[in-house]
Amino acid sequence: MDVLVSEPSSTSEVAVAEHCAECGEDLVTGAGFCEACGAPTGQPAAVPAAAPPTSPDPDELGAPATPAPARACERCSAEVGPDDYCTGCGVRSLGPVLVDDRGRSAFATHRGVRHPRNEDAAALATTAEGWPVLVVADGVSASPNPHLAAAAAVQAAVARLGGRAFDDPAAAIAAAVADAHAAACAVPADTDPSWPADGSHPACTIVVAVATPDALHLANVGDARGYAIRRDGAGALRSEQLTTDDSVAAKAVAEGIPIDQALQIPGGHAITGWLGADAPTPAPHLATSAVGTDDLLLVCSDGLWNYAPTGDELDALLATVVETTTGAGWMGPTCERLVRWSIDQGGADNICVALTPISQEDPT
Amino acid sequence: MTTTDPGTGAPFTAETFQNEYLVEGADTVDAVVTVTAAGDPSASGTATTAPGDRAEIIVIDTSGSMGAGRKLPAAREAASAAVDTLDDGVRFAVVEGAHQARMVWPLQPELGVASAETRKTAQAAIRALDADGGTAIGTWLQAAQRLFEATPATARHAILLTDGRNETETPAELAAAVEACRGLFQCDCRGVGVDWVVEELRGIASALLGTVDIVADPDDLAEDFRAMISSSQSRSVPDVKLRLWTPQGAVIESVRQVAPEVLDLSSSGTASGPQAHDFLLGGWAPGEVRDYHLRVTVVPGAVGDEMLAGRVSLVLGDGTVATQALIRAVWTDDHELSTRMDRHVAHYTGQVELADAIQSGLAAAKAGDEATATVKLGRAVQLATASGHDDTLRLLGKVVDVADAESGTVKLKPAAGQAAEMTLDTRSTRTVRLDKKKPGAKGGGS
Repeated sequence: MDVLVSEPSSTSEVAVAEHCAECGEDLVTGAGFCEACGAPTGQPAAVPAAAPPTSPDPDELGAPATPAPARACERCSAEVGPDDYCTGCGVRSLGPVLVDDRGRSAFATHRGVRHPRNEDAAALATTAEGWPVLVVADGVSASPNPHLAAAAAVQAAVARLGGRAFDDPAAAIAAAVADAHAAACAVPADTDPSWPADGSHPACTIVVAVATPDALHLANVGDARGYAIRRDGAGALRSEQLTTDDSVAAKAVAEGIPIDQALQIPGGHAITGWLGADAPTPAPHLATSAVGTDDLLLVCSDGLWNYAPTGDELDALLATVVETTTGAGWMGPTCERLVRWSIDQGGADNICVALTPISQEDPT
Repeated sequence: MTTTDPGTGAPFTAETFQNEYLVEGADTVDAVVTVTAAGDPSASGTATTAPGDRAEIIVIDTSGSMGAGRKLPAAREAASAAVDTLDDGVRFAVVEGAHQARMVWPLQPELGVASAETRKTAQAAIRALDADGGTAIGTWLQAAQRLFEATPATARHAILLTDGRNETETPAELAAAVEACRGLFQCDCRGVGVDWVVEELRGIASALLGTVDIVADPDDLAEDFRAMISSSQSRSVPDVKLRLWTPQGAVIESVRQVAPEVLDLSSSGTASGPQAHDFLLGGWAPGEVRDYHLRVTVVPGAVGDEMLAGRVSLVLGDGTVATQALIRAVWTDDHELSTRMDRHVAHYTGQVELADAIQSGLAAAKAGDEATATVKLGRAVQLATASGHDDTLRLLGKVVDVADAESGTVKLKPAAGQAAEMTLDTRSTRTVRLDKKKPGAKGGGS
């Protein structure tokens, strides 16, 4: 299966190989345009710093997002350089939302507005039966190399479930979480240039979800969420949170405090469970929920749900964002609209949204 | 962040150290950029400088005062040792300076080519040097300028030795001569004895990207000259420039070399393209490491904005960009992030303050202001102690009695001696690099 992981574009390795045909200026390798005169270089555009797909699965449809063409700065309209910085005002462009649409399932992710790099990761796969597997992980910002932990975790989880028979859901999902934990533990702590060596370890949250034709099976550690989305009698989309947040706020809610008040508690967003070397032994929350043909599975990081923490708020959002749930090609755009909506709300965190419809059809 | 992989064979690597997080409304971005030349330039594909592409000029003060004591004989020996150190094929000349400059070897105003024979004739001419006349350093530099302008050699270096102050010409004349030489050649300056002016030679050396030092004992001159020629000949990558791109509306506040010594490059920048300025760095030897402290003010962004506040490129003589490093600014409302100070920036801010404290302390002592001198030199002892700058601490110990190093409590030595003060002054700009093993302030996190 392909694992498409968004990674920071903070790498600043730039080497110069060529000169501009128009003005003779040195060209930055991978630059689509001359920094001095703006003439096209004819060089292959810089490849976004995404992890190379691991063990590509020919059965999977869709391809990673193609490199973006020249973009204009959102602030000053000058051209945005290949490193995402505006060549005029220097402000880093928000850049495109990374979308991976496999037809059967899709995800979209973005670093948001406030975080310099995207520490969320997602991976898609299908079981041997052809049932969609959605995995979303959110790197813990207060740890070293959280983006690597998230990437490693989602890859390990889909490696456990992808292409294999899903005949013992609880055991399979628990094994996927255990593999993800082991993978996060193996991420080095001392190679993150933006984190001091302080003895802490890479960490991430995770949701592993499999949509069979009649039930959703989920496991989560941390505060990324999975929802069943169903249509009510009037045809409106209704969400049901199936995961259990490992957070201070969730504990407060469990004690009877309303969710919107709980989220205002200082440190309310602090998580109480995560994957990684200094995590307490992960105790994933397992959940199963019966679904029907027209239902959906939505998995997302808190970069989305923080702006729609309650079921009603999420339903209202889905009513405006989800235009259709039938036919082909709607999942990627829908994920992207949810991500863009979160950016428009302030984009305080990285955002990752994955989606799949429940289908009785043979996916082949 | 590491910007280039040393394994790629790039002739240079550059690394940025900074706290990119700024509080809302803040506009000042500080960063230390460490530039390292590849250890083996031939392996990196960069052509090493051939002997015929190098030019050396040795300028010896032969004003009347040089006749006193051992100064002139020592200067003759030193010039002779320098000539001895020249590789075959290097273009060179020896010039003597008094109220005006005169060719010593060759006799006609052009560079000769080093060989066993020319080294011998040049040394014979050096032995005949006599002391007579005044001191007009500007005319010496002009002579070197004319010689260097006429040579095809691209790696150009001079040694300038004097024992006295520039007095046969005005400071403006000297300044104009220095300006005319900027970028044409590098010049190491040496003062022998204690009658020369540290500030004067430092001005020449920093404009011409050279070192300055005192040679209190004339007998040490020969070894010093040999070392300067060797070091010059090892600089196999000539004419390197630091190019700084800044965003629109930004102001380059300062560009300083901070290691191995403080060298303020701020005023030497020239516009070199859209939003870009070039600063001359001179030649580089294999494996050389220099640190630069850059300060840029930018138009503040909103909380959450990230801006490229500067892009540092190392530009080789042929215009190739060898490596780049990025200086970023990220505005945040997280005070824990924005109040951290990068330890490299903090360290070199302290080293520059140390140099300033020494220089202003010695100036105050010279002017008879003992109170200021005591405070400044006390602060210098404190800073040198905190940063483990043992060399400077030792030199400070010859000028002040230290009661408590950590608090900087000192007493001026009643008879420190001029040589001790001038040595301390001259070497005040030498810095120590940050000890990587020492843990710095730890970053927080939410």
